[in-house]
Amino acid sequence: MKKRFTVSSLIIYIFLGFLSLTCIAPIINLLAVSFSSKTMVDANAVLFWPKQFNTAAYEYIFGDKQIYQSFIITLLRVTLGWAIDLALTISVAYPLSKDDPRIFRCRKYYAWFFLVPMVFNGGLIPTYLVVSRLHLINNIFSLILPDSIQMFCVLLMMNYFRGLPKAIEEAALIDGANWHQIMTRVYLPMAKPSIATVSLFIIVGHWNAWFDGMIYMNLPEKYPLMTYLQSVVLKFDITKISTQELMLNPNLWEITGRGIKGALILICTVPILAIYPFLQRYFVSGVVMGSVKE
Amino acid sequence: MKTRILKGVAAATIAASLVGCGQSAGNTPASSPGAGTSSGAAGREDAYTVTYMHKTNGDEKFLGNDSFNDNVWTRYYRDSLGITLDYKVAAAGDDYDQKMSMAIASNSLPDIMDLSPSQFQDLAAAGKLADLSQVYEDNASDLLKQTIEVDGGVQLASGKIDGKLYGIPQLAAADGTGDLLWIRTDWLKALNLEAPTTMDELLDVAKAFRFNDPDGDGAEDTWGIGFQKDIVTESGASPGSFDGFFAAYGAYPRAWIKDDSGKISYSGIMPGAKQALAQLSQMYKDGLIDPEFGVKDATKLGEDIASGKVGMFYGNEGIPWGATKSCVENDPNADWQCYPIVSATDKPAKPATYVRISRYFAVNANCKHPEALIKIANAFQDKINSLDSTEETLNTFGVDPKTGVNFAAVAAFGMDPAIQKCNTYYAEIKATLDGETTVDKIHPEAARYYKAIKQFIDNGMNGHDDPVGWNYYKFIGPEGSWNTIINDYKANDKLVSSVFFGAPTPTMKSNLSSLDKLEAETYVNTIMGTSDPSAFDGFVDQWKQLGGDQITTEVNNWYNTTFADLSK
Repeated sequence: MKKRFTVSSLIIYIFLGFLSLTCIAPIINLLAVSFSSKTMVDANAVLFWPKQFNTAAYEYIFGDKQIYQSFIITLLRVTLGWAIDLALTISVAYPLSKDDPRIFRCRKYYAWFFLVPMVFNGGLIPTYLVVSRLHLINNIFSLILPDSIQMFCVLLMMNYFRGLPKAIEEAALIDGANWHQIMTRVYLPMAKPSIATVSLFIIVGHWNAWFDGMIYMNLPEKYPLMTYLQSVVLKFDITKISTQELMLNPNLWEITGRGIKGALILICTVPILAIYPFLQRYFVSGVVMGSVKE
Repeated sequence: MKTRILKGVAAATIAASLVGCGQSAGNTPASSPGAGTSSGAAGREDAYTVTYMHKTNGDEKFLGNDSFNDNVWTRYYRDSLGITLDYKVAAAGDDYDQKMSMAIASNSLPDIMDLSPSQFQDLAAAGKLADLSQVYEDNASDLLKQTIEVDGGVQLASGKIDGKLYGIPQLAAADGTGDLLWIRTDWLKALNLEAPTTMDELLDVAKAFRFNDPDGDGAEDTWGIGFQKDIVTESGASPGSFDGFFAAYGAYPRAWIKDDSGKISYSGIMPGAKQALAQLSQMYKDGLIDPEFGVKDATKLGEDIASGKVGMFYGNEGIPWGATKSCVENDPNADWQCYPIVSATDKPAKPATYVRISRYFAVNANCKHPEALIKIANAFQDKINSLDSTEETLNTFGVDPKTGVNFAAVAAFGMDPAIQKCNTYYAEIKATLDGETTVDKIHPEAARYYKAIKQFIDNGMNGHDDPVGWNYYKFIGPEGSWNTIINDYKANDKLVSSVFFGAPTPTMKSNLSSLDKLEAETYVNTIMGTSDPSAFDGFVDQWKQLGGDQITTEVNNWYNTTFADLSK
């Protein structure tokens, strides 16, 4: 049957189209700003098309070694963080999904143990003290180990495991598999959509995190990309720089424009935009199935 | 009982997982107090290491693999002074303040640190900082003392508490904080007007710029005079400051002024402020002020200036680096020039200047080598500020001629003689342009600016050859803002200084933000006509009752104790 084009679907299309436009418009604006001359941007004359096209902003950013250093740190952080977070999340979620007390006696206690920190946390200073006493300051692991288990991801995965048929587990037990084998050989292969979903959350989370980098990393060459971005976007404000500094460093004036900031924001966004489509197809099934409880 | 055991087990599990890197929870080393450790740097017996938390500009650049911990300056400190300066933290802006709060909270202060005025005050009062009085006397070179005490020791005195020196202030140039009147001279020419010298003339120019179509596009889309939203601010909201306008009536929204009897009072509640507000309110009614000014910050106003919508505004001497430059680049016909501010009375208008000390350099009370701070500070004077500095030294320690990387920006405790610097450079550049001296005889830094200015005079805004020639020309050139400051403001004794620049007093900490809010609301409501200018008197009473009187007393006390030694 051929679908008819009705008024209601037209309205829906217009509404959704408008919604998508509001998402894409700021990005197009940034793109235009990043390729325009500083003076045109300062005059707020750039909307969706570059004026006085130039690539000075990108030349400045790629001419600074900081961006490469920060990029490597972020890459390392995402890879390591993804592996560690995922391993920990699975090893918490899988046992907690066994709600039969004969299989896992203290489940209730452990469930509370993990649920309480979801609502309450130690606060900034105590957390900082813990990290600094562990000698993790300036260490990449300070960005990974704290918050390495996201309870939201654990819940998602736990519910996914619960949704899988119990009969499979029993069949594996009868065949002589132990609990570890059941998890790694039986359950994990079935949980791929959920793993993909959780991976996406973890990767995006690590990619976007900037605050921990600012707190735990003490020298600019150790900043991850987002902390560097944050420091550039917030700091280079011409009205906050003293004339003495401007006089000594004429290039400061050049980099105060929104063009540099726009270019940097785009550069930082592109990698994550690139991996999104590949994980997207698991995403919906992963989230939906993880949310259904029997 | 059962739960208690479980708790123990769980805690142990967590602890084990947290310290997974082979370190058990039991033997975590006690926090090191950050005292100076004498790890013998190679070759010298008296070599030692000091740790340092440094607030950066955020734009520091290095050559090759250099970094904060390994650059031309740190190598010099290590090899010549035997001091290894270990940067524990180097961060800019709010990031740094956050880290400093963390270091204070976790009691892990480094040996030497950059502190904001209020942090400095708190730490000094808590006994966490070393007394530098003797160390400064013994170690500071004559040149360093001369640089720091050029203002008669006023700024240095703010680093003293009970007569003891706890911190060296990063010197601030107060002269440059006074407002100037910036006007688009091409608009003046187009409408056959002269630059205003009185308030009435300023109003005429503002009206002409607003209604007589100065840009010749046939539309009434220009503003005669531009203001931004922050009226009650000490941090120099520029462009679009209100300070210069209020000064026409002998008042300032946020200054502490000392009268002839030596008493300090708050200028924002003076009768002059009422007159200024009445005038602004009238201008608002006449359509001379952008009704959106209340939501425009300095950056937003800058956009209007850059796009050629504003013909006049109050701003400081650094304006050539801001929106006006973009305006001139966007419109080849546009030109900006600064003028002295105008008066509405028969007395000359005096712009207020503010000492804004951004940081104090201080030493941890536990540090064994407080003299390191002074010794390192001496090095900057010898290399950069000394008149004996050769071109070669400046190329090594100052600006690299090939890449333009500014090494001086990463020198520790660099005391720029900011106060005289612009005055000296202005004079030297002018003398060179007039042919009274030659470029190789003046200070190398001034020579750098001279070359940029000369380039601009000869070739104009010649593309990207030297994109900042105009900036220097309008700033420190013969028609620049320093020309006005030196030859008008200073020559005629027109600068009024706001005398309070210490850390916030106790009542300021608790009440000042609400007082500022009250003042800002009253001002904006008066300008926009929502409340009558006569409401100002009510505001003054309220301000005094809500802690203003108490603050005034505290400010007077601060002034009398801080500068007691100087007045003797």
